[in-house]
Amino acid sequence: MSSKIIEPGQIEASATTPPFVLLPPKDVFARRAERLVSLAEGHPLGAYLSLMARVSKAQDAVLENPPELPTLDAQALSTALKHDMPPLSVDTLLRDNHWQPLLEAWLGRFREQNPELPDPVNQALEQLQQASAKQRLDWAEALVGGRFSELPGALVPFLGASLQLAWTLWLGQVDGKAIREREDQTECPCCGSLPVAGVIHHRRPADGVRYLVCSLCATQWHYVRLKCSHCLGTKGLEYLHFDDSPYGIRAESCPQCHTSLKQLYLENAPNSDAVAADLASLDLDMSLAEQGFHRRAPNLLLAPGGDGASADAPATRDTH
Amino acid sequence: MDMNRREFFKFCGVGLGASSLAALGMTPEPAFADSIRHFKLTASKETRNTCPYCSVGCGLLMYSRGSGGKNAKQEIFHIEGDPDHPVNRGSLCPKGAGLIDFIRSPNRLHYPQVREPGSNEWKRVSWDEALDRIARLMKEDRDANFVEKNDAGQTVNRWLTTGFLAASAASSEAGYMTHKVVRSTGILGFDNQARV
Repeated sequence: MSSKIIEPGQIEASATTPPFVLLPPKDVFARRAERLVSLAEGHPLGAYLSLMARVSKAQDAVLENPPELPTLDAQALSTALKHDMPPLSVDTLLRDNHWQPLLEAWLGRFREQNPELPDPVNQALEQLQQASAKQRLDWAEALVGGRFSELPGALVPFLGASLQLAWTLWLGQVDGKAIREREDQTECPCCGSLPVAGVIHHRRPADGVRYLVCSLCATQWHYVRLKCSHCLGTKGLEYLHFDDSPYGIRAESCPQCHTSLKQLYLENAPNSDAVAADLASLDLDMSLAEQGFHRRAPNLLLAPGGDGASADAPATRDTH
Repeated sequence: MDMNRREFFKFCGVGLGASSLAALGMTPEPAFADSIRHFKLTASKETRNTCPYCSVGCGLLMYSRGSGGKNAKQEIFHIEGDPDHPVNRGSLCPKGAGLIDFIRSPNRLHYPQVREPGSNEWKRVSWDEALDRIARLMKEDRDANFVEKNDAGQTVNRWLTTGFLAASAASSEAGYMTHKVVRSTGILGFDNQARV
């Protein structure tokens, strides 16, 4: 009896390299909304989490039925990929202003879904609606540039949600497999933004692998574990968390650059979402701040307030 | 866009007063900030290592508690395959997957012991005694059995009556050192299980 000859590729399948980039699923915002609803129950910040659940629901609705938009320049996309540049570079696409119709669409859908809103929310939506395109662009640039103190805090979650929506929508025109793997990628390979948090996956083929989650377009990209995503240091990292915290979050804290980034362990919270879990665990941020750790990771659904760019900011690795 | 002006920020009880929470009229109760002080912030560590068993040399992640401070006892509570390690990509064999029990095994050796010829009991000895004994026995055996020249009168410098087994989980450099040290005594029968 002849035995079967194994072809190349048949054995490797059991030990495949996990993909470098994971593009967000179509229902990313629906899942986030669902998660936020369940987190809001009995939470000290429950009102805010419920509001953000509704924000995400409107994001999901617009993503399903987006307004007519010009398609992105395919030539520019492939050139960016060829040169290992982010195809949806936030600097370029922001100024093209094609995200503004999505802001309009989101505002419309959000109001339609939520006819009754608290006054401060209505005022913020009104301010966003009335603002000129130029004014919105200035705010958006401050927001994605991480300069939260340069725009009204009340606008941040709504403007942030619209920007997330635009970039996640555009990801549909990007071929994730065409993005070449690079080591030490601390910014999103799709849009160049900073991660909101890390996620440790719990299912094959990425079991135990850490991905960083883009704060803007929700792309996830592989980043080696046990390594600071700010200064690339690997010495003395600590994983700080509250005992029995239900969010599956531990903060990877680097004693060299004094920054920390939250890591979401899906094994401990299988239905979780990085943005939602981050919002639900602000208590950990406050505790980390008391320990002297800075945070660099933006969450576009929340302006942190407080003293932003402060004199005690740690030494920065020049990233641009 | 000027990304260098990106802000570092801290969330603190006072800071929340200027955040989106406050701006949208959803500031948490002041008790929220106070309550945080009562939560215990736990530090755990994750450390890379190599499985000690075989010559495949799988990468490990070891999770431990305890800050490593003088009075804090460090304790490993979980071990799993290192998903970033090119050899095993996060997987471990059944022996490797049971390493936590290897560390905590009540039968684990904690100190050197000797069972002398003719005795049927293990006797606890100090590290100094153990190393002295090994060195002395090796020296005696080498003095008695070292072969300087073969029958044809050629210099061979062999020591065939003692063998040496070195550990796995050793780096190439450690393997090189083992080779240099052991071979220079004339020992031919040795294995260094670090062929990775």
